[in-house]
Amino acid sequence: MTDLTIDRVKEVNFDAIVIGTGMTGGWAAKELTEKGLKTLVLERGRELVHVRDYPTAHLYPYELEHRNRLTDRLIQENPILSGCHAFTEDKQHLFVKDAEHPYIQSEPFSWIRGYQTGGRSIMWGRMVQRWSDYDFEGPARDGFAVDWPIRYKDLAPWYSYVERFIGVSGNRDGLDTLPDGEFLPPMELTAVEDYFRQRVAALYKDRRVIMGRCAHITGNYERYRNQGRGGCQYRNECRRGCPLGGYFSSNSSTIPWAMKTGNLTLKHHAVVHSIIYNDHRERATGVRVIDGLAGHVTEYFAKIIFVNAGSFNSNLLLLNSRSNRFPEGLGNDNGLLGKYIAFHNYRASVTAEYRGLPEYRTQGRRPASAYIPRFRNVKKQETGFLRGYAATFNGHRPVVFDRNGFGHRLKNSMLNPSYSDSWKVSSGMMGETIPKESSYVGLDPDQKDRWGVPLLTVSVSYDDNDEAMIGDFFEQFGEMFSKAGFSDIRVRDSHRIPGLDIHEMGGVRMGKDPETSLLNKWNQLHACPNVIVSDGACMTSTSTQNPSLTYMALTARAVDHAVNELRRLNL
Amino acid sequence: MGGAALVPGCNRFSQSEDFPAYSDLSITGREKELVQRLCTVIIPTGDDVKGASDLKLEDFVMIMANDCLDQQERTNFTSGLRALHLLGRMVCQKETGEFTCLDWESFFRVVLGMEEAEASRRHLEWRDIRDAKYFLNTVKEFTIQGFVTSEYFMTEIMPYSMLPGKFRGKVLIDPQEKVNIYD
Repeated sequence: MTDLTIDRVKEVNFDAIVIGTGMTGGWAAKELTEKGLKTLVLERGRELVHVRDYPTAHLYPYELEHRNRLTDRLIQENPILSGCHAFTEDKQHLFVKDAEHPYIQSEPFSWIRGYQTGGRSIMWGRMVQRWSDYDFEGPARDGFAVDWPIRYKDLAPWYSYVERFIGVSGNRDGLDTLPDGEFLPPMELTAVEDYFRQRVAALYKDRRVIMGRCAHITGNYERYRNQGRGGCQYRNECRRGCPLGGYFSSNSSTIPWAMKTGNLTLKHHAVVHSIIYNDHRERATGVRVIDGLAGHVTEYFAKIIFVNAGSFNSNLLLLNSRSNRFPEGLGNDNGLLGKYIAFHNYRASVTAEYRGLPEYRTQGRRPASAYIPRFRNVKKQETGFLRGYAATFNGHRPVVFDRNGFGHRLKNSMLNPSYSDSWKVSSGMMGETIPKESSYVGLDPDQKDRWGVPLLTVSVSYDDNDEAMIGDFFEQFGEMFSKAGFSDIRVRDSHRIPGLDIHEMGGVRMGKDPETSLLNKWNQLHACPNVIVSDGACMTSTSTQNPSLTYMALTARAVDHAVNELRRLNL
Repeated sequence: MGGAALVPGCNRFSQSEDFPAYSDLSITGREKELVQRLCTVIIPTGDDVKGASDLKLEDFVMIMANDCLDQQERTNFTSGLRALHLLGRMVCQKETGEFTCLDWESFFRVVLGMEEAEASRRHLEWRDIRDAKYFLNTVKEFTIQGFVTSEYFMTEIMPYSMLPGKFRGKVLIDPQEKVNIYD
């Protein structure tokens, strides 16, 4: 029998529903609740409370039984996940194990997930570089995907808004390729990084080495104390969860902030099966939620629904939301839902040594890296491949001891280490990949997961453009390193499979035309405007920047628009 | 050190014993003693600084070998350990040959330095020598790791700061200052 008591009605009816608590779900929750909307936030994983649930945060290296190395058993049980650089002994509890939520790899693709409050925002890389119009204009200029429906000026105020709240450390570098933001003091470059910065500036008009902008609080500020967050203490154990709140995560920042408004209802183990579409009312009315532990189904209702489940899960959810009006998935009138997936190509790296600056060392553990913004094909097409790459740059002075021999000689070496004769430098490529119709995610027709939801099929791979870009990266960085006087320059292609960048994007892309895109310029489904998708699934192209900052800015902007539309009774 | 009495494996193998922390290796008590002995040779006690036996590094070595090596590596590790036992017995029995009784350190050096041709000349199985080398090198690496990441080392020898509080990218090296690998 249907339970129609007032309490029951209140329990399942909200102003807004947010699916997901990660990077963008947290932002949607914060913005919606601050604007006074009674908001239900659904997290498919377990509850993970800031500070309380960081069991390894304070462990010394010797307190980890295997000194942070994965055991063979974990590797054997998790062939996909164990390829992820962040999956280590101290952080193993934060990642979804291979067997927990299987998917089908039509082409090899590692799908790395975190099912808990905060999602992957606990373990993210924290690099936050803004896009410029050179990025937004890419697809239109180079003739791939579709034109972005927005430009830098549309997002710039929202970048600022997000940066001020999350805390971003960086220099004002004055680059048109990488616009400046609302920065807290920058972290220092190391001596060799600063040397390389100067050499590159002297040798190349179009290339710059800067300190990476990262989502860390440098210093102590009242506005972050109000969030319960303090300054970064350079432990570089961020991904365990930072008890100080030194870096931004949903757990440390947006979720508790939303909670304080009194407008947030947060449910865990809430696996959203599908979005309910009402053919008569021609709108989405709610969501069907499976209790992840008990298995029963509950329906919740709201005026607007934010889909922030993480790129692939957002695709999966929309594909699985079938109705008479949308037999191929919610909003999927053009058959493009799930298509035009792209990612970042992180396969290539260059390492070298530098024998200069022997009198210097570093001190402390910097949780960020230097950054080289894209310089290829920026203002015009100049190579045989489309688009380009940004790169990390890191230089440190290793401490070494002679590991030869046995006994007192060896022991004496260990007790008397010395600074290496040379600095070690390295650069990692972050390449843009081209979204293509042939790169897609879909639903398996037969196999279902433990919650009765079809398994996701992933078909994404590298293409010739990616290979050509790797070759160019090796050439250019080989030359830059060589001109800077670095020696023992080595290039490496890890051949790692797509996905380990953990930057999967697209499938529900934004665009101007409902015939060729799923979302409008406000992240609303063209065909169902009270459903808003503002996580990585919305990305029309990938550019080279680490994407979370852009997702967060898009989300804050989308909430602002949706709530205004609600108030104007347009939604 | 030195002399036949110190050479490993002169006594019979004892029965396999139960070491739950590293049961995948199926190690006997005497075999564990050999690992212990080897750790001590790698990082001896003495001077004012603790060594492998004070820190029970053999336990760390065995847990790492048991848990973190893959199946093939574990097999090579155990075979290498047994081969080393066997080599020790042969050394003992061959008192008049060119392969005379040695102290532990020299014995390990002989094994680590042995090439295939020399093994063949000595009528030794090359596979045994190869596995023994793998075993020795693996124990050595884990012993070194266990030492420099022990609580003792990271608090009393080269303190590890959990909360550096700052990062400086360009610090002038003071040649008088003792170098700390965790600084």
